[in-house]
Amino acid sequence: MELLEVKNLSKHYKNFDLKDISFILPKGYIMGYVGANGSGKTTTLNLITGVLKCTEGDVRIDGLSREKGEQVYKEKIGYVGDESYFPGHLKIKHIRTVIKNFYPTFSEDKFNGFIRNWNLPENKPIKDFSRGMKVMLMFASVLARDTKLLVLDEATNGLDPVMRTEILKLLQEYVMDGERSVIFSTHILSDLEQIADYIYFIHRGRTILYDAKDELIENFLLVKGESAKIPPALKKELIGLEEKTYGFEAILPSDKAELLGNAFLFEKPTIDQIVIHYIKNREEQ
Amino acid sequence: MRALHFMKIDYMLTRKQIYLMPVFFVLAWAVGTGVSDGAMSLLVTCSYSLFVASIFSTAPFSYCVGKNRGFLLLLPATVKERVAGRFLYGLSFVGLLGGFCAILWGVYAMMGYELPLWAVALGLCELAAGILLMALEFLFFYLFGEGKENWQHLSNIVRTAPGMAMFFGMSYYVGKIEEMQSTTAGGMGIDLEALAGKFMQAGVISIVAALLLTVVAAAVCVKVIGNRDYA
Repeated sequence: MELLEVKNLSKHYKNFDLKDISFILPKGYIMGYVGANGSGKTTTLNLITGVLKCTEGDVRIDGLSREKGEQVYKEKIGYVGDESYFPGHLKIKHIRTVIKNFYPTFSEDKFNGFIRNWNLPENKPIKDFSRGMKVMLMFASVLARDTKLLVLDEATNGLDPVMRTEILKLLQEYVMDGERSVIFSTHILSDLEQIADYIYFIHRGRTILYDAKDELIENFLLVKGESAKIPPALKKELIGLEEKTYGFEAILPSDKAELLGNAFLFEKPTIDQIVIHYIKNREEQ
Repeated sequence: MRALHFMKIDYMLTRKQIYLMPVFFVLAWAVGTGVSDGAMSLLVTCSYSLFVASIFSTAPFSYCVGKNRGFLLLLPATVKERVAGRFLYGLSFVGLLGGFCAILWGVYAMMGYELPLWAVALGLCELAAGILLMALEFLFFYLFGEGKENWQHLSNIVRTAPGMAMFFGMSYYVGKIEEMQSTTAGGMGIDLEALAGKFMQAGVISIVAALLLTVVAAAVCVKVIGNRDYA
């Protein structure tokens, strides 16, 4: 059963076009939404939350579009961005009051529990919080209510490893009941290796790859060897060929493995390597 | 109901200036008594208070800009509710200072000052002008400046200039009214008390008209920003 359906989502700007983004995120799964800076990740996530209006396309959460029921649609979403969206002069007590007023499923006890566990200062204005504290406050504000979809936009960037590990654990717990899902954009692709079930990769507003993470890793090989030995038939299939001091490195679709012969080394790539070589390939094109 | 919650958020965002309101009101009273006395000083006090209200009522527009925009936009509500909440804040803010003025009128009455009905009616007209000014400023901010960070100078002009014009305009007319009443040489000797009924009607009609125009302004804002990004 799908939780998030994105169909032909497009957004036109003067200098940038997000074009035909389509995917389905089933309930109980985590999707990593990856791409270089300026590729359209934040635009997509803002279109999902409804902060931006799409030029074309449709987004549904649990079968409901924003146009059909804006309030319920937004109640289903928990958003954590790379920067705190809480006005800096407010304090935790103000955030608590606002959330309590707007979300019927808000649990004050749960919220207070997060605040205590993460040692967030009750009486300091939010502008005096560290970056980590601001992120944790955003997490507390969304995890203390009944959301269906967590939308995270670079939320773990700039956090120390301990905090990042804690957040990744929280996300895994969040989807554990099989009813909720997470869409997660990040530059730290090692985080995705750990927790993502699906990977959606965009570049300059266009879809490059979209698959289950394990499938994606299975579908590619990381190939290394001497550049001079690459036969033309293989060169045509290599993705993001990169010259290094020891030779070349590139990605090859697994179904073309027979072209390798015995002259090259190959191994399973990481998501990081797939993404980097795909970006290189696109840049060259 | 959610509109009321949005109004509360605006009070939360601007709570520091709310604490300053009594200070501004005392200042307005000092300005009023400096310019004139009796009912005339009250009219000047009211116009100064409404001038202050027209500046401070737009403050929420400067708190949720840039990265803070998400704070209000992600809350589960419609554009209509959010805009209605902001206009309720504006109205209640102008009403708050209008209330201060009403209390001051009461205090003056108890102290035995003569407070003619036509002056009360003019006070109502001032309140109507304050409401209308707030509505027009809100309309401007929603249509052209909501959420923009680089509008500081223009938004400062929009905030202060109309209210200032209203204050100086009212102060000028208070002087004119005193001249009209005067029976000494050069005065017109008009008996304004005889026209008090008409003044009162005009006062009430202007309040109703200002409220209706505020509703219209809010509806225009909802219509225009409804399909806009970050709205």
